[in-house]
Amino acid sequence: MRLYYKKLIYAYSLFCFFIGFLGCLKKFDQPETYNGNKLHPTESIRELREGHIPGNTEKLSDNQIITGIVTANDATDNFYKTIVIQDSTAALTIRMDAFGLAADFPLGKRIFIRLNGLWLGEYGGMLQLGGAIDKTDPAYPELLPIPTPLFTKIFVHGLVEKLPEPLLVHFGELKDSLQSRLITIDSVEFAASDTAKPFADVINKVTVNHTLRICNGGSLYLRTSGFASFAALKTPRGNGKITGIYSIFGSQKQLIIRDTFDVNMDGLRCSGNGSRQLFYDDFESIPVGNNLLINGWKNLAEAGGQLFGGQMAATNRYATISAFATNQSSVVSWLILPSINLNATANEQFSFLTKDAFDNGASLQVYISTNFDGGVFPWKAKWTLLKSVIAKGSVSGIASKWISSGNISLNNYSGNVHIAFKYDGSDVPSTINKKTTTFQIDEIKVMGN
Amino acid sequence: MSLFFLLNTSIANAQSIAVQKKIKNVFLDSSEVMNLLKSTNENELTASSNEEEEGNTTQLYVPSVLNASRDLFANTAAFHFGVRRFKPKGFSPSFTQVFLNGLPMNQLTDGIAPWSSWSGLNEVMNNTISVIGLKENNLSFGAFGTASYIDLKAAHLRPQTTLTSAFSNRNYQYKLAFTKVLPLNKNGWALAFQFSYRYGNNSVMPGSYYAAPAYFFAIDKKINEHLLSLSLMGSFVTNSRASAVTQFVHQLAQSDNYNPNWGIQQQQKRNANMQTLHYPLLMLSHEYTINDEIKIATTFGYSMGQKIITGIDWYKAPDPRPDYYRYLPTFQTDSVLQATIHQLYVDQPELLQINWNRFYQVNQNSFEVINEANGIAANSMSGKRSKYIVEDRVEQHNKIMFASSLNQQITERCTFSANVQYQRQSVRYFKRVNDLLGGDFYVNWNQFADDQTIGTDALQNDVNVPNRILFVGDAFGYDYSMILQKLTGSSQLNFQTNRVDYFAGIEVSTASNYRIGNVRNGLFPLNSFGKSSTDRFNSVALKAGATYKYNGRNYIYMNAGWMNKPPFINNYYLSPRTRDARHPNSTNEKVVSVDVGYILNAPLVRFRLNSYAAIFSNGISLMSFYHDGYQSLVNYAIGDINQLHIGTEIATEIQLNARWRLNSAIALGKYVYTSRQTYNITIDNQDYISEQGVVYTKNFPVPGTPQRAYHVGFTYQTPTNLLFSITGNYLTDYWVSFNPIRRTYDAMSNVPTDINIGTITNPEKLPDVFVTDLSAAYSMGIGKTKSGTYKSLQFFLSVGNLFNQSFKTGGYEQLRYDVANGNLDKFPTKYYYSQGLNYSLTIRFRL
Repeated sequence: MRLYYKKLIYAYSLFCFFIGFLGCLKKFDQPETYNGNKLHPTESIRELREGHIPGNTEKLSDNQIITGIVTANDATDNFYKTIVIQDSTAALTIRMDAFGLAADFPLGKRIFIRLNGLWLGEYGGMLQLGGAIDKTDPAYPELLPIPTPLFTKIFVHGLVEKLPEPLLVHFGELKDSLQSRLITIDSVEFAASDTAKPFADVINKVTVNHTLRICNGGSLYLRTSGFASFAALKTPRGNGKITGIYSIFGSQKQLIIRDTFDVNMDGLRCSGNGSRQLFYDDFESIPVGNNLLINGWKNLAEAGGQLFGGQMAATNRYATISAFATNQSSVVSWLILPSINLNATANEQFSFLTKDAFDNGASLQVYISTNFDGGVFPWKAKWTLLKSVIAKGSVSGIASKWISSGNISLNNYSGNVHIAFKYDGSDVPSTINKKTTTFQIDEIKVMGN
Repeated sequence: MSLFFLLNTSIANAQSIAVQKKIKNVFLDSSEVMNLLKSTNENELTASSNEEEEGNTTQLYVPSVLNASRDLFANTAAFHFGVRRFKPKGFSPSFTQVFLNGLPMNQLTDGIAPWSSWSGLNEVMNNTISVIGLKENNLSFGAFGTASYIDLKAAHLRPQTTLTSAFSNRNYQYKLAFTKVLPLNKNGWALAFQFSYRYGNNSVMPGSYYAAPAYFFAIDKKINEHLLSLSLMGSFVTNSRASAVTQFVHQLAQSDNYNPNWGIQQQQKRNANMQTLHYPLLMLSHEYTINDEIKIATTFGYSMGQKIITGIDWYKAPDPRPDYYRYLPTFQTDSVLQATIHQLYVDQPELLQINWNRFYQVNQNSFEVINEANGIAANSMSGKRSKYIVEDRVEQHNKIMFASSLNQQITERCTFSANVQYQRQSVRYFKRVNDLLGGDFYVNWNQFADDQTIGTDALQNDVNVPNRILFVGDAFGYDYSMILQKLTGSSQLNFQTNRVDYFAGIEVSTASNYRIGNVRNGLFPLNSFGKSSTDRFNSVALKAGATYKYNGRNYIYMNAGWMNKPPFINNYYLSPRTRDARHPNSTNEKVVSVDVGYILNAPLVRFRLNSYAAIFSNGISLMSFYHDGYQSLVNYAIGDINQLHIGTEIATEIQLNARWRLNSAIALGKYVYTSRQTYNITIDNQDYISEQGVVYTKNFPVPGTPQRAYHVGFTYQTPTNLLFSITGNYLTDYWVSFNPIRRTYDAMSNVPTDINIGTITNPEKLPDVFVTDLSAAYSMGIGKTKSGTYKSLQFFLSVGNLFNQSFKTGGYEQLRYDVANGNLDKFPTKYYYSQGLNYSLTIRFRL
């Protein structure tokens, strides 16, 4: 009897452990890399577009299938709830009710669309594909985006393919059949008032239209959303190519870029004919003295009462400053160039030469301001430091060579700007805190094209 | 289930009712009954323990009163009211305390005892003394709710050799446990151990998984008056989690077992929401019996371990949750689209589950170049940057505990006890990459900060290592530690006269907490990294009471207590994941509580009545959620929470005749908020209070528990030691936890004029529910051991929700609220649903 129970118990516990540990190791198999699905398109995008009656809305009720490659999406949030696809014949904007569409619809992805049940409609004359029509206001039927849960039913995913080459078009060739096409326009530049401006208003999240001018005549808008990740970047000031999705709003022609990689505009502006000198001064005509006075310049002491002076060595004249022998605990002095207008040029570069003498730690720095009023209180304006190479380290005498500042780009500025040299030193009895380095400045130059 | 309880009490009354004579077989003794009872309950209770991350203020029901073996009412409440998460007196679980070998086990972070960290060890965990409410207590000051003292010393455990197995359709499907306890031998050694394993896979709930090995070892050595004990225990639990769903989704899914957290991956059901926890506990105890009057017990404890909850994280991709409100037909305004989508979900219910294959597809196509990778200028990383990953949310605990108690019998009628307890707990919270789902890497960026501030460090989760490239196993997101300490001293005096027993106790404690940030958050670079300042809280608790002993059967008592207690860090750190900012009024909460009751212990009738009142004031809490008005994650710091809990508990047991017994229990409670609460909002990417005001909550019911519950049960016992029990339980007045935003002046300003304001502000009550449970037990003798004790084979079957009803077990209003339009249908209340008929069959060999 006793043996019997023992056996029963052993058998039973074995059984329990067996079923217990079965499938205990939970390791999930990974799907293989997606191979892409294929459907046979039954019509081209051009055929679909041609079936549309302008100003009308149409429900697509036969089992047509189109295919295309994604040429734009919301990766940078410049397109909102929208992707654009294109085949060899034409392109189409698709309104989709989701965020993060770029995850499922990256650039270059081939997709197939089952059109049955979808709607064609217009927004400002722009043909779009959507999920339904809101006819609350019969005069202005509104196309509704395709809801997310229907994506799996409507879209079949292919593979990521090579993006189609953008179509190079001249202004005169822009027409409605090119709507949503990825196009490139050559010899184009932003209107002078729209250069070096943020692409859109990132603070208030407001869309901004900038005017693009084509050298041979014609203009269109570059439309950028305030939500675009690049909205705060500045528009280029040169001339060149721009690629984007062609769009219209009423009679307005618009271009929408996908990212700043679509903008290549660092060539000469239409009016340009090579490098131009916007400003130059080598101080050869100044008098030697303690107070350098040149017409249009400002020479001001913020603290310590020391001004920039003019000097001559051999035959070369230059500007100079030092806190030496001022007995002032703080010497701050400004030498400000006359205002320079950057509107008619691009790619401006600023350069100058410096020499130091008896360097013990005083500093010379270069600043730029767009809001200095040209008055006598420059320290009240907003100045931005320009990174430049300034001579230093000549502890026991005058440096033998002039040091070049290097080319400092002013490409991010437009309109009237002021450039200033600011000296910061002190002449106190203690050797440790004495900062009386002498700086010499020469060959100030701003070039642009 | 109640059957065991009834069996238990029947044994207590056995002699007087002459049942025992007729039982030829070996009957179950009380501790065995409790064992089985707990093992079956634990299964059911964990089934209802899937708290939702988002704003579920109802705490998980803690089965503390399971151990209240001698209390008529507490038993019924634990076993029959659990389906609706009944909380005795409406008290939060932090008012329940658990002590293992005298060590306080409640977490310092949230005050809750980590029951699951020693689950599955029922046969050794049953050696429990429970003190319910403000009763006298020799072991420590106790709790305002229930204090459970579990003695795990091998020498104190019941000697046994037991093999238990269970089959169930609840959380786990199989359980096997082996327990051996060898009592003190003549050399002074005692030994105990238990192993158990519980397992479940895709049970009634699709996509569910459960695997939990558990272990316990204890060895004791008695040297003269000293007993030294060493024990090691732990439970390594891995289980899937379920989320609450809206009523609409529940209907759409057409199943009470719908859980949006799983989906098919390569023909297998994969759950994105898994929890793994393992907190091994090592204890060294010393018991010194100086003489018959004085005893000193001391225990050192050390515990370290971690809890990991997995989830899906995503970056610039659509929300992966299949029941996200934008994916539902209700989100559409167009009726045609609504109907199309509705039909689609009906035709393809798999669309309501996670689409793992899509995550892989998206990640495989996501080619990106990250410049200045890991903050190194010329370093760039290119490859497939995952847009969806599985993340681990990790909590690593490290805990040192010390407790020492002195018990002295001063005179025959007077006992004195004194206690010192110390706990130091450090918890590191961080996220870790678990699975890149087909991608090559992930980047340590914060997508919420991303679109706010371009070209700054704001999007960096860690400014110290910007643009960090993440691979599997790398920590990311938040990473901080909380260091908490608490020192408590208490003393109690019990004094008996002929007719009246008196007691009085005092507890004094001091607690200190601080945070250490392990990363420098881009949004809060100045107060996210390094050590924060330390907060200190001193608190006092007092209690006293008297019992009038009319005779040996009739008792009347009255007990009262007053305490202030520090807020939990989870409630006063506004957003510890990003910075060290605190709640503006983090001071002690105050509690006053009074119990008055009557107990009758007659041979055929047992009766217990307890009336109580408790006043809570100065409470605080914190909620973090996505605010539609601010379009950002916000921290809603609630203050001035005052509550009044009054009620009566009645339990009766009547032995009708030798075969039949009747049990009943009634809980009549009224738990309300008595104040208008205040709120402060801080937005997760700004460091100042953006808004403050009043939450109009006066006279709101306290949510998360049935306020009233009724139970009636009949038990039938055959002479052959077979028992049947059927019980009916009616649970009512359950209120779902409410969203404070809907009760503010601001929310009112946007309510459309055609909507009755009450529909927005009034709290929501769940429909009442009547549940029937059935149980049966049988025990047979299978011979005797060498030492002469009986061996037995025991069967126990419990069937819950006998009529397979579908009902809501709990719920919460979503904290997200459509402020602009006051549209409640946009983010409706989410609910948990009952499982339907559930059973558990336990078979046990006791050798």
